[in-house]
Amino acid sequence: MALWTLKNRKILVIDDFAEMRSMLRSMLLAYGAEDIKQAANGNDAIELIAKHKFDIILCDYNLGEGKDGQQVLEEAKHLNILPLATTFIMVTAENTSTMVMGALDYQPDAYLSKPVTKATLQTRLKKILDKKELTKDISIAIDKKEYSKAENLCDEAMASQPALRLELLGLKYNILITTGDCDGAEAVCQDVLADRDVPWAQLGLARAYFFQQKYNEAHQQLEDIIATNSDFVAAYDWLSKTQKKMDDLTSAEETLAKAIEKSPKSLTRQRELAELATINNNHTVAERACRDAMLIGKHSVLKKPDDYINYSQALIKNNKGKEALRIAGNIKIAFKGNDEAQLQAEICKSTIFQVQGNDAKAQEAMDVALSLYKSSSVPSSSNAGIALAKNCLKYGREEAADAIIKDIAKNNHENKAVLDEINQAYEAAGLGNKAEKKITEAIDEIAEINNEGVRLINEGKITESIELFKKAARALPQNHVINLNTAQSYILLMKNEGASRKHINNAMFYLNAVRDIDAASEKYHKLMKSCREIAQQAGL
Amino acid sequence: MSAKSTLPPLDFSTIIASSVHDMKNSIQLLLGTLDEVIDELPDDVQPHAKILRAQLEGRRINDQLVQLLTLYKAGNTQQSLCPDEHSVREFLDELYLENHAVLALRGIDLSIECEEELQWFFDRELLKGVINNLISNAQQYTKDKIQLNAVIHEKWLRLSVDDNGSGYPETMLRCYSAEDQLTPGDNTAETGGTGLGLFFSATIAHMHTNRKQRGFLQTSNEGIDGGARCTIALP
Repeated sequence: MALWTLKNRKILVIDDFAEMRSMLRSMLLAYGAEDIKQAANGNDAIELIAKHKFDIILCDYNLGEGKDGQQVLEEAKHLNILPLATTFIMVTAENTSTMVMGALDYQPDAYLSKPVTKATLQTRLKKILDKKELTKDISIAIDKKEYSKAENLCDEAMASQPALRLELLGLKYNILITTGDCDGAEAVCQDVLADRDVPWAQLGLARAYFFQQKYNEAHQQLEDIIATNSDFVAAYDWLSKTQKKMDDLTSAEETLAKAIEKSPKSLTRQRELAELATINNNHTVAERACRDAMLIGKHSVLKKPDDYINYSQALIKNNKGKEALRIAGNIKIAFKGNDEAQLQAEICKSTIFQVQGNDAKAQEAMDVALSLYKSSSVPSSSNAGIALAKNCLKYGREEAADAIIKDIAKNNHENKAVLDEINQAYEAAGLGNKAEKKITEAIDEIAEINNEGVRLINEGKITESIELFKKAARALPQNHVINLNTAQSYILLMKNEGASRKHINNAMFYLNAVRDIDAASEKYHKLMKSCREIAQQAGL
Repeated sequence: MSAKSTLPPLDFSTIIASSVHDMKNSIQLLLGTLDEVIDELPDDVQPHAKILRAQLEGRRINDQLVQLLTLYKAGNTQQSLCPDEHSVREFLDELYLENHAVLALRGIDLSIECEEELQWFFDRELLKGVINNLISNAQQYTKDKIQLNAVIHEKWLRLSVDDNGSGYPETMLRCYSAEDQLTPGDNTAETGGTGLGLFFSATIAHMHTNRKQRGFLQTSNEGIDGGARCTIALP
């Protein structure tokens, strides 16, 4: 018996084929493993990954119907339930380059091709685990969000472990991109690419350009990648994002449609296509993408009420009212106990009835929606709010509409698209520029909060300013100026009182909220940089 | 209303992909079961030559399957290369592990010449198929030795399979590079085989690219004591 043992390692085996699971299991048992759990499909796997902290996950790429192995990996990463310290190994039956060509953060630690014999399992698994062990302290630091420490560990390891250079550069790239140091991330990619065409670095360079708002460079880089490797699906995703930023929505949609053709099972990709097709008024494409997004998400923890709403709305546009109503009804079952979802379902029903000319039923649904809106503790999405406001305007409930659009305007006071949509809704209802007044009021209220916060800061009352902004951010989670100011207050506090992990995480929380809304904001980048510098100086 | 019902058109690549998945599972179970048979033997009993032979044939079926799929995809210009950084030594060790017992039964000694720290970029599974191919070629012509060599020379990985047989005939000494019009059936007369193995190996070499350079295959008589050497060079 070998000295090497899997004793004390928590292992998960994911395969749709029972005999395969038991064969892998018996091989692992032969090497001393004791704690082996099994999953037959992606959803069971996700549930187990969420519940247990595994050391090793062996996942078959092909899991039959439902999610494939890559989706399990991406979903687990997305949900933050898969620590970097876990070794994730993808077991594959055939070489599929679409599987490999993803962003670095969604790649497994290794691929094992079938047949996995006892001998190869031992030698390869040992090597993979040994290699993982060498970067373990870095993984743990990243899992704990101690980025500056992780970056230093990377640099140290690069000097002492030259054989791990590429691995370490990959980790470093992820740290730099996460902490917003796009110039640093770009340099890492250039460094790698000087020697070799490594797919993650090719894509990574484009992503760095994108975040630096160098859209022309990003566009060129992504087109080059696709020209030499037409299966690189993640490159299509980023090209589409770039085209969107360059206001070329037609190309953005075409690019995404190509990506979907190659790899249709991605929820986010279908959602993006649905959104673009809707904006471009390609109702057939939109309906299909909405439907696919809903079906893919159905058994996934990533499903959202919006998937149903959007599908329902796409059906209305294609004159399929009956089907639209059925989907709206499904929301109530699929999202039982979710107030926002119930509200959206009612708004959706109201709109459908209105289109069908059934005013009584439309108003009935609208009234239910309004009472749900008022009792809701969290602000609704701007889409849902605008739809409800439109219905209110249609049925003479102007006051209710005014209140709703003011909420939306406050949450999105610098989002031109949302404000335009509000104005258009009022104009269409024959109310001219009445919305403009409400929007101005909203903007004034935000300005007041900001002025008050700045006054507190100037008086040295930084803790009070944090409280003020935090409260505002809770009520207006999508407002990026408020989020940025909250982060800035934390940074000022640390400049005065010294850095702490807790405050850095607080600042990062609000900065990340902005990143999701508007990654291109200059102030966001400036604050990210300050945050990074503070962490570096304190060695955190 | 049309009563005519039509089946959706068959997509052959989907069919192949799912068949390959099933076949690979079967090979996995076949080889795994043979492993279990060997495990159940008492420690002092050597596994029977016939079991080793069955394992080897199982792996051969796998290699052939990989070849077939790769050539099919290459023909359809579907890219199917997954290069990643691997330890070359570990890769050769794995090949040694799979082949040495069966070769020993035939009185052939298999050895490795490779530095411990060597790392390179290649598609592990495809390259494994290539080397297995070259090994099974070599065992037909060697006297009693086969050696796997790996060196990095001027930013190229040169992997070769050497034997101590009488070497290639003059007509077969050449470089199979990117410029060659590769067709299956090349050298059929000389090798007595189908030529598919060589074609496959050259195709795999050719598919490995880096910074606009392409891999190639080369035959020479620089093997052990002037025996045959087949080298796959990867950028």
